[in-house]
Amino acid sequence: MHRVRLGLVVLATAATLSACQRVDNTPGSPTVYVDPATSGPVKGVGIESQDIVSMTDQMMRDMLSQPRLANAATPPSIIIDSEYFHNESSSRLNKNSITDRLRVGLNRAAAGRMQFVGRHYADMVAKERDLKRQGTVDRATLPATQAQKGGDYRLGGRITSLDSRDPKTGMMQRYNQIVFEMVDLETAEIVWSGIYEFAKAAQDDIIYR
Amino acid sequence: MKRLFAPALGLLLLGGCSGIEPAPHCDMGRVSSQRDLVPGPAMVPDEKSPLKEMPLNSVNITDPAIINKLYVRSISARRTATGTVEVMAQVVNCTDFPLNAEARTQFTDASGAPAEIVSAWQRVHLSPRTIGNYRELSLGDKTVDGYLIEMRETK
Amino acid sequence: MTHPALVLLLACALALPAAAQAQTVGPKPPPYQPPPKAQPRPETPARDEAPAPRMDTTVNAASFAPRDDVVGRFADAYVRGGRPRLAFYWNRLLSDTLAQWYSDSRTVTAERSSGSTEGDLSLNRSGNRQIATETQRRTGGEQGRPPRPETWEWEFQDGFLGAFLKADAQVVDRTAILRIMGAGAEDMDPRTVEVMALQNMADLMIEVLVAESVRSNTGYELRARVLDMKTGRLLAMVNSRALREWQPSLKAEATSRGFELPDEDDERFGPERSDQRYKATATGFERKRKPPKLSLIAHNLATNVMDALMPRLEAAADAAAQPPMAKAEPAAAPPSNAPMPLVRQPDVSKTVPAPPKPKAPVNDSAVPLPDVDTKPLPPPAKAATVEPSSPPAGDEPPMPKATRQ
Repeated sequence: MHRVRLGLVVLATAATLSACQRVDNTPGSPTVYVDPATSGPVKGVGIESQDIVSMTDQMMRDMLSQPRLANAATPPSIIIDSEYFHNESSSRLNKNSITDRLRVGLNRAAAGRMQFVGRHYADMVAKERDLKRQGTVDRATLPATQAQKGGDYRLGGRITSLDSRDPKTGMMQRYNQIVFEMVDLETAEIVWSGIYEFAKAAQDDIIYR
Repeated sequence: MKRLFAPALGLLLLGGCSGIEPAPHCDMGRVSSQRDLVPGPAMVPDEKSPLKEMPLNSVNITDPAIINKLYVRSISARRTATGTVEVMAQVVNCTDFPLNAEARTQFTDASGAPAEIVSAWQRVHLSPRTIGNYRELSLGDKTVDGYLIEMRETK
Repeated sequence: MTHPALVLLLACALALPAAAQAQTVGPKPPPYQPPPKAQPRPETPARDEAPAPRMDTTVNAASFAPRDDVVGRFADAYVRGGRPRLAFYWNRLLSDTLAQWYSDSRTVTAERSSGSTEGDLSLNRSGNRQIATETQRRTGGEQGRPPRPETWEWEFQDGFLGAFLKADAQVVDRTAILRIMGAGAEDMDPRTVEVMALQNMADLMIEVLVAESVRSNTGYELRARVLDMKTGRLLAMVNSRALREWQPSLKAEATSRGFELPDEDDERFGPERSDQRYKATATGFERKRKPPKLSLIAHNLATNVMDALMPRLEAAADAAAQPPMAKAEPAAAPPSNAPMPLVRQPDVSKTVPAPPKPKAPVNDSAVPLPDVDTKPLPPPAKAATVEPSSPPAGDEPPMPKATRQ
């Protein structure tokens, strides 16, 4: 009986000591920063940051597994901007936040497998080219080219949505569908397609600004 | 004590005969026994790390909320036509309720270091007692030599 | 018995945090092997089908580029045609009103008085007096047209005249010939002076009119006529609406909803830039579907006028080059519809001495005269005193002469 008591004391001590060595599994200090890849404290039924991060990441990886885009004998010139990426959904959204993240992510990951054309900088480039050719500025260091770079493929796509609301409960549901397509700029052939879809339901929609 | 043991055993046996449980049958006891945390890379050269690391090329369910609800059935990895790595994991929802899990993959190089940025969380919708597929592609090709998949419940 | 159970419970509680992680190990990715490079466009197998329809690239292709070939050919034909003098009427119609002033009413006041005085000195006096008062209005709205902005006219005339001057044409200015012809004859009706000037100092009149048009993408349409000033013969007429370059493009247009064919009842027309320039903007390159510059439109109209005029000039040159047998034998006169020489008479008389025909009017026409007895007005006698016309014998006074206001 005495030995049992002794054992209990030893066990209790060990348990207490082991508790001291464990991970302090408590929440961290509160902060205003939230992970953009995870839903934050404000959740609605529209397209949110985690959706943008997730869809662009998914499309980027998918494109890099497409041989005609990422393993061509000559790296293709690709235009990714929001010019032909239309928002037809009921979500208020800046399309550039999607296309910009996609372009930046792809450009950083492509490592020469693709080339990207900054078509949204066309006026900037045209102006500098004019200045060089007029002799206002010198020719800089890089060799001159006949014209700005053309595109082999360009991103097109569409955001659509379907809203439904329960008038009794005020519950709102929205199905969002985002389609990405890469189009051959000579033949209009769609060489790659990607779709990202999700549906969210919430008690009431939040306001997106 | 012996008098109580026999009726208890009988009740257990009766419970087992009460009906046929549909597949999948998730033996969480065996799943737990297969857990194998391995010593991680040394923080100091030639010294063993005190950290028990997750093994490479595995799916790791990090969320206690779903650890006894999901069962990773299989994992596969292959090269795509562009040389990138495609990993696929089949996850079984052992419960009678729909589950929303999400997973992400960290692709690593030959030394075990991250070869690229970690992928975004990707949702896997699991209907009751169904198999869900998680698929992820790497950004890099020749730099990728391993992967680590983390899975948690979607909040 | 209770104590070992407690120990076991405690041990389980300690082990529980470790159970919060579970993993399943999978295979390692296969080693990287460079995959074969993909072709940008996989070769499609040839189909045994009819060849694809060819793209129609003729519509509006480079239509407004300067057509130097036309100008060159016109220059040759113009020289062969005798270098007729060209007077241009810019947005001004040749009116059919003979006098600049017209009247639709007049008031005649007649006074008749007679009296006699008797006495030592007898005087018989009789008189007759008539006063005619007439209200006249200047004819307006026929010759003059809605004015265009001055700079518009400058640019237009620059583009139009440039082609003719490049072809070394003799271009006379309307105002100048009117002033020259009318100097010293200020009392004559300007329209008479105008006709005199056109007949004596120009051979062809090219009338260029501009009309507002909402269906045209330029907001206006153009018409040019070439008239022979000696005979009034219409030599050429060019309407911009009928020009090939002004026809709407019938090609399907690519839109965000696919290709769209033009509407059948779409009556819009107008010139389009042949190059369809793209302008660099912050959102990429945007097509600017502006009509061509006015000078190019004017140049295009001029070259089309040249095109229309060239057959006349060349036919005239060919006719002039024929031996003068036709003139020697009046019986063998050419058919009336045959092209007559477009060479002015002095040139013909130089090369072919025509038989003297004192009674026949001198054919000074820029185009061959048909059998019409035309009498070009002689130039007014310069500095001649314009005699007031003597009153006619009748009671009614003559119409008063036009007066300047």
